[in-house]
Amino acid sequence: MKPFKVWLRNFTVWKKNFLTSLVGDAIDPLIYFLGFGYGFRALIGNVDGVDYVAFIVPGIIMSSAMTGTSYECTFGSFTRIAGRKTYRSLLIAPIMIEDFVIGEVLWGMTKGLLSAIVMMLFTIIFGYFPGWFIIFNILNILLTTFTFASTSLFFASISRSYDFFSYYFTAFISPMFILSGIFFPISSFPSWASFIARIFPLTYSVHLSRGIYTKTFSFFMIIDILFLLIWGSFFFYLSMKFMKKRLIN
Amino acid sequence: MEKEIAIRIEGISKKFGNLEALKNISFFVKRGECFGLVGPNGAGKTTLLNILMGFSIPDKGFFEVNGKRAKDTRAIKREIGFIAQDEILDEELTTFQNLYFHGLYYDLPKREAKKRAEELLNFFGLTRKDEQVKNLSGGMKKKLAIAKALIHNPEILIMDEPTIGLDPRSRTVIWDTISALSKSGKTVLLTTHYMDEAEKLCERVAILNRGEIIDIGEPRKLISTHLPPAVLEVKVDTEEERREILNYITRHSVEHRISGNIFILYPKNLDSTRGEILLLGIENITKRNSNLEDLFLKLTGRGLRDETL
Repeated sequence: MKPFKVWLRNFTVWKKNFLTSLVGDAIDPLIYFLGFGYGFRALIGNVDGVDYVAFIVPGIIMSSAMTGTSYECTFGSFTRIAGRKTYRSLLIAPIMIEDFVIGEVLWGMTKGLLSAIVMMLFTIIFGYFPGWFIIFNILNILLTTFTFASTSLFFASISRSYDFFSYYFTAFISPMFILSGIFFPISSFPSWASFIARIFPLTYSVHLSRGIYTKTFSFFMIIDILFLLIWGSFFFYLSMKFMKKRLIN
Repeated sequence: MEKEIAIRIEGISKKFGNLEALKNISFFVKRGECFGLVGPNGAGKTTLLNILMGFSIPDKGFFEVNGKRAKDTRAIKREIGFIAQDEILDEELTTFQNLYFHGLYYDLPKREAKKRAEELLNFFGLTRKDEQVKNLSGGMKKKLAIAKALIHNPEILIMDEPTIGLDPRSRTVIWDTISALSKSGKTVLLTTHYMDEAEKLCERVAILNRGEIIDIGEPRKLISTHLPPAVLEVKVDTEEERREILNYITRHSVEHRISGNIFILYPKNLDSTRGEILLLGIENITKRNSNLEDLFLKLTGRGLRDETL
């Protein structure tokens, strides 16, 4: 219950300007969807037997989940632990660091979920709808946002300033956006690039989502789920550890 | 007997690198008492409070709050209303929301949290409930911080420098508030480097200097044990005056302390000494009652506000 109160506190603050925030989070993936999707379709036509726009829709939704969560759990969380020191106003009450970390992760997941849902609604308007399989996709979004919330929060817990996050975004999030198989199949990469792609968690989210959208299930989806779970749990553990180290001396 | 003790601290030590912030600190606060931890900045007051709140882990020693052991931070926090020097208001929330959410953090039901928040806002005269916290004045912020600490109706209040940075009027208001809370039966542990504050509010004080407790007791008793009832305060304006007074002090071996351009003398015969100094041509001389500030100076050899000593 305690982490939920941390979540509720963040939600209350966000609610004041939610429209601006939602539009801001959704605008980037939207531009890529329209630009890449409809731009490249003219040149490419079909990929792996599907229409190019249909090919990128699952990945674009996942990238929007990733970005929404990552911004919140880096810049947002860092403001709460270092900038405004909001954590102090929580920790003088019987809220423990564990509650705070879980609350931040849950809130980061919520932000990612909201971005992804906005993106998903948009693609539905354009006619890309996986039917009731959308439930699986939402589960996938939750798993993906958990993975990125934990990873981002770990970086927030060790960061000394906001500048640090520009590395996180340029060296991790941005390459992932390009190399995780959203816009082209990983199999078409040279072997070194496909190796890198296989280290990135987003690759597994995209693969999973694409399977859901094309309704083709395979054994590899279990690997996708396990990879995301293990990655997310590992960074969740680290976030907890380093947040305690940072906030208790 | 045990029930009479609200906070018990035994043998707490804490090092930061080579700095010994706290050295073997032991004391207790009785139920219903207003207890002051007195000392200059850097004496270790805030470190000790951080340890009580679980923000810092001591290297040695243990403590109990209302019978709850040190390890159970969550239980200890429930016993305490904590008013830190800063950063305990949530700047992204309104005054009402600050109190309401704080109530939720203590597991008050939503209705109860809302009711308590409104009561406290009224009680403290914080009438603009939808005001953003960042727009409040220093005094208002302090009131809100105290209101926040009272949301779960704790028996014990811990305040870190409750009036630091406040204007004189707000200071008086906060003092009255603390007095009233203390009279209503709350146990209060406060830190301060204002001696007048400690004398006015606290039934007992512990004098803390460089991480060590030098003495503990009732302010008046401590003063009468260590000092004559009154002292002379001589203010020198010129180098010449300074030389003259130093000369006089050495010649008559008068016990004294120096704090900037103020000389505090503890002479055996107050009135004759005063007359002799006046004869030296130094006119800025006052006789006043000894206070905790003098005591601190005497016990530690340095002023509370004067870091250079």
